[in-house]
Amino acid sequence: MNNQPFRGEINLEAWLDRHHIDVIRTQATNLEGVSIGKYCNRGKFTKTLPGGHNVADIALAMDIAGTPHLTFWHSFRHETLGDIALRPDLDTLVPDGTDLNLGHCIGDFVQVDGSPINLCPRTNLNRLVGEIYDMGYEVKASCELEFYLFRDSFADARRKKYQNLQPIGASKLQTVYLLRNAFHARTFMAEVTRRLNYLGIGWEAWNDENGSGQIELNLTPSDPVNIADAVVRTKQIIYEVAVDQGMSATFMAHPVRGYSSGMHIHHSLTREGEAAFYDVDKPDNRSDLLRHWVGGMIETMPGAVSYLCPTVNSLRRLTEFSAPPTTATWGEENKSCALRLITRSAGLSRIEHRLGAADLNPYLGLGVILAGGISGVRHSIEPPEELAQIGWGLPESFERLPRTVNSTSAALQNDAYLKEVLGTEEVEYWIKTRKLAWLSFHTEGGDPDSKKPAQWEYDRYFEIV
Amino acid sequence: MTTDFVFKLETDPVPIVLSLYTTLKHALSNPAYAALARSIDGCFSIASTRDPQSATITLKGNQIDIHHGVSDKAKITINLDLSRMSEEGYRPSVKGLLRHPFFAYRVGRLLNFPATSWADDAKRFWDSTQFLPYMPKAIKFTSTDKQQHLSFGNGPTDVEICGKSKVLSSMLTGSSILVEDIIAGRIQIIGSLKHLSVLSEATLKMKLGELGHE
Repeated sequence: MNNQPFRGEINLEAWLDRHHIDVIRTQATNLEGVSIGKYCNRGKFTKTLPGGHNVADIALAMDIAGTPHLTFWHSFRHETLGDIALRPDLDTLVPDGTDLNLGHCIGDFVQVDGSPINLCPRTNLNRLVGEIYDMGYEVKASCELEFYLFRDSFADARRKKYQNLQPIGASKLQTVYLLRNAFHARTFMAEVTRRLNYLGIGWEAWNDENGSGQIELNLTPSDPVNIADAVVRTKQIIYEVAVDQGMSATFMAHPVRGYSSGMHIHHSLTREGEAAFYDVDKPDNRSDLLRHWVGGMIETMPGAVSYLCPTVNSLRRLTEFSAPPTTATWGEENKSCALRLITRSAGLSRIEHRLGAADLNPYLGLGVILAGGISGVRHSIEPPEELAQIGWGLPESFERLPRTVNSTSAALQNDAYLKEVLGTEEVEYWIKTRKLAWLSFHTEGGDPDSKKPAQWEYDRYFEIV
Repeated sequence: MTTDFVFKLETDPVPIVLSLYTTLKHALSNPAYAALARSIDGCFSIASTRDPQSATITLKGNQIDIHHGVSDKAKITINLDLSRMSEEGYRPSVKGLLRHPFFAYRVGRLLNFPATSWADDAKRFWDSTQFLPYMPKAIKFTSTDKQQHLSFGNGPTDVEICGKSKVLSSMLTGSSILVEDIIAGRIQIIGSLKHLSVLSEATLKMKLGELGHE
């Protein structure tokens, strides 16, 4: 089969003919990280280029449960409920491979006159990557996706209210890298990786993770927008393969007792092809750029929690010795810190950001991480002392990252650096979306004292994030 | 007056705590109810019958503590449907009523303080919220039962809000949220989605105690 993407070609009609594509599924990601779009027939898709087809502006202004944002406002919205457009990025046009007449195209939300909407997560990430490029650098990033896989179908899981599901795997022990567990997921993951390969999404490895039924899949480094596109596509593929195979998979961050699902994000900068985080002349190999980049990310980390752990459910992850970091710390090859530095060679030099939850919006998650780095360089922020010890169980004098919606919102509200880079209106709108979810949690069944996720969390997140 | 009282809320308060704080602040702006509050010594709990929301309020002199959860020390626990609180004739069940009848009577009176003047509430609302981003430049409120109109701001009216005076008061003091009142048919609006949203935000801020109504 011919799985060449459209990227690099000129004649769209010829490409569509060659791939026998009659239908194109458009896809864009709203603030919640949820993929939305339409199945367009070929004529409609091509006729509306380059602007794209219209969608109601509420597509970018509703919560994960589909409730429109009617208790706050953003200037992109139309005063009497109007349309915006989903503008396809033809560089992302690919054939599906499984459905032979189907193609996929990711796009950005724009106004119908084509002007950008800064609140669109993909547009904003593209802008940040451009800023870094203007600073003289290129960024590469990659993500580690963690999710839970169950033998129960989504319909059965729903019937069981998502409780007592049967995890994939041989053992109920909290093992990691156990090949016997992974063996049980091989049919599922074989189909997932087959579809990834077909769509041109690079992946490096997958393995059994700590939780019973938990799997980790590592994507190949790429440009941040490409990697965020790859994340939303991969999540969709995992969902679809689960449906096709009568199973269920979830990126809900904390669906079961024990280990939660994160999304570690690696990134590095290069200048004219050379590793910019690496300086062979420094005794520790760390460049001045890296020092300020880390300084900015540490300084903005309390505010960044709101984007990286965006839900009541993902904030449940932040407990000591449970794998996610609990302090804004950094260290060389230190996986108990929020930032793990790898600087032993130019080729490997990178930062692993370990705070992100599986339910984050990858465009916003990558965006807030890069915004921290940009702030660090812009304002020459010095990092605190490196943590050479373990980052959990520290005395109270070590400030903990905020762990509630209100405290993460307050930290973000007070973060002038992140507002400067991400946009004040965009940041404040985001905070209001978090507070809306917080209000819904408390007034629609969530118990603030329960250690167990509320039914409200399962109903809202299990099948959607 | 409210300013004589010292409120102590839990760290990172949940919505029911903030909502009760707003309700009590409103009640205590009436001197008679401030005196009533001073006469109450002890704590009581409020628990929702529809969800896990609950809170405990402790009154001692001029100090009022509010935190979430039902306390073992509560003299009475009021079990109620929070969505029906403002309904006329709605009677919640009260545990501990027979052991502490006078305490329960005073608490009941404090929580059922009489409606304030809708016109005063509208003025206080406008004074507190007119500077919020995207607020209308001019607004008109219409009381449908009293056939009264009140306008605030300058220039042509951007938004008109209509409803019975009691319902308007409830919304303007943060006891209810504008968009919910509109969806329920209790309030009508002539205006844009933008103004509906920002006015709803304003009422939500009132409800959560982020804007005062001294």
